[in-house]
Amino acid sequence: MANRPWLDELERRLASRGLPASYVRRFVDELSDHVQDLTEETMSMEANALSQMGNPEEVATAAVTAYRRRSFLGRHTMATFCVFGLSPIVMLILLVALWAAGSTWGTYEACKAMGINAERSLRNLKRLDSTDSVTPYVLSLLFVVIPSIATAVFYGKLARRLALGRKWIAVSCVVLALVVLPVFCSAKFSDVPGQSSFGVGYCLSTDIVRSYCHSPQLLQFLIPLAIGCWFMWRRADQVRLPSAA
Amino acid sequence: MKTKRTNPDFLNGVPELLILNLLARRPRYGYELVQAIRQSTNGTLEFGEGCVYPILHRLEAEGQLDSKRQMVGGRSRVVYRVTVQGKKQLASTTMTWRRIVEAIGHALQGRENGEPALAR
Repeated sequence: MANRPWLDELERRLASRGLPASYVRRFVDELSDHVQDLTEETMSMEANALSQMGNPEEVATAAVTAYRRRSFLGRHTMATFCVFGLSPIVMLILLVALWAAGSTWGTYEACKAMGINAERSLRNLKRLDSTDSVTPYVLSLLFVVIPSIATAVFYGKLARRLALGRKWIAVSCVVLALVVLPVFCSAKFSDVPGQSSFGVGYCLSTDIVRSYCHSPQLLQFLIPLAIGCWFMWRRADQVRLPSAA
Repeated sequence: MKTKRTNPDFLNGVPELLILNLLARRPRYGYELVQAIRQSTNGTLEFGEGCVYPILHRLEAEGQLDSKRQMVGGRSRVVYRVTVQGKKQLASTTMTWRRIVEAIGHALQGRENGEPALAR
C-alpha cells in the first residue's frame, strides 16, 4: 500500500514526540481507515488521498498539541518543568534548612530544660566522624539515591503521560543530578547518651574534584543521569520500531 | 507531494464548534465527519484531514464526545457521538460565536456608531 510509508513516518514522528503507544496505534488505525475511504470514494490515487491528509509533521504537531491540551500540566509545559523539574532544589534546601533549624532549636531547648549551658556544650562537642566506612554508602543510598531514583522515574513517566519530549527528560534529570551531587550525609553512633548524631547537608566546597569525585557523590550524580538516559533510549527505541516492522 | 494546510490560528475553536454541531445531528465516523464539514462549509475551510482526529480524541478525553467501534457499511469504524456535556458545550459555544459574529458584523458595516473617528 502506498499509504504505508506516510503512516510509518507519522507513527515515527508521534512516537518521537512522546505520545503513548496505545494512542499512536489508535490514531494511525483511524487514519489508515480514512485514507482507504478517501481512496475508494474518490477513486483517486493514494498519493492524492495522502495530500488531502496533510503532511506527517503537520498532523503530528496537531496530535501533540491536542494531546497536551487534555491536561493542565500538558498545556503549561514550562510550569510543569518549574514545578517538577526544579522542585528538588527547593525541596532539598527547605529540608536542610528545616533540619538545621529544628535540630538547633531542639538542642537548645533540651539543654535549657536540663540546666546546661548550651553554648559551652556545643563548643565542647567533638567533630563527629562516621565510625564505619560502609555508613556513607548506606546513608547516601537511603536518603539520596533512592529518592533520586524515584524522582527520575517519576520524571520519565510524567514526560510519557504528558507527551513531553526527550529534551524535557534530559534537562530534568540533569537538574536532579546536579541538585543531589553535593548532598552529604553523616552519622555517628555512640554508646554515650546524647552523643549519637545524624546530619544531612550541602557541601559547597570550591575544590569540586576532590569533594565530589569520590563514591557516594559520584553515585548520586550518575544514577539520575543513567535513569534519564534509559528513558530517552526507550523513547528512541519506540521511534525506531515502526520503520523496522 | 502537495499537502493541505491546517486551519490558520484565527480559526481556533471553530473546528471544535463544527464537529460538535455536526455530531449533535447524528453520530458519524471520522471520514464521514470530514466530508460533512466540507459540504456544510461549501469547502471554505481548508485543512489537513488528518488533523481532525486529534481534535476528536481531545473532545472525547474531555467527555464531550463518546466513541464506539462498530460495523458501518461492512467495515469496522470508530463512530463518534456527542455526550450530554458536549451538548451543553455546543450550546454555550454557539451562543458565544453568534455574539462575536454579530459584533464583528456591526463593526464591519459601521452601524450604530458609524465610522470610527480618528483621534486628531
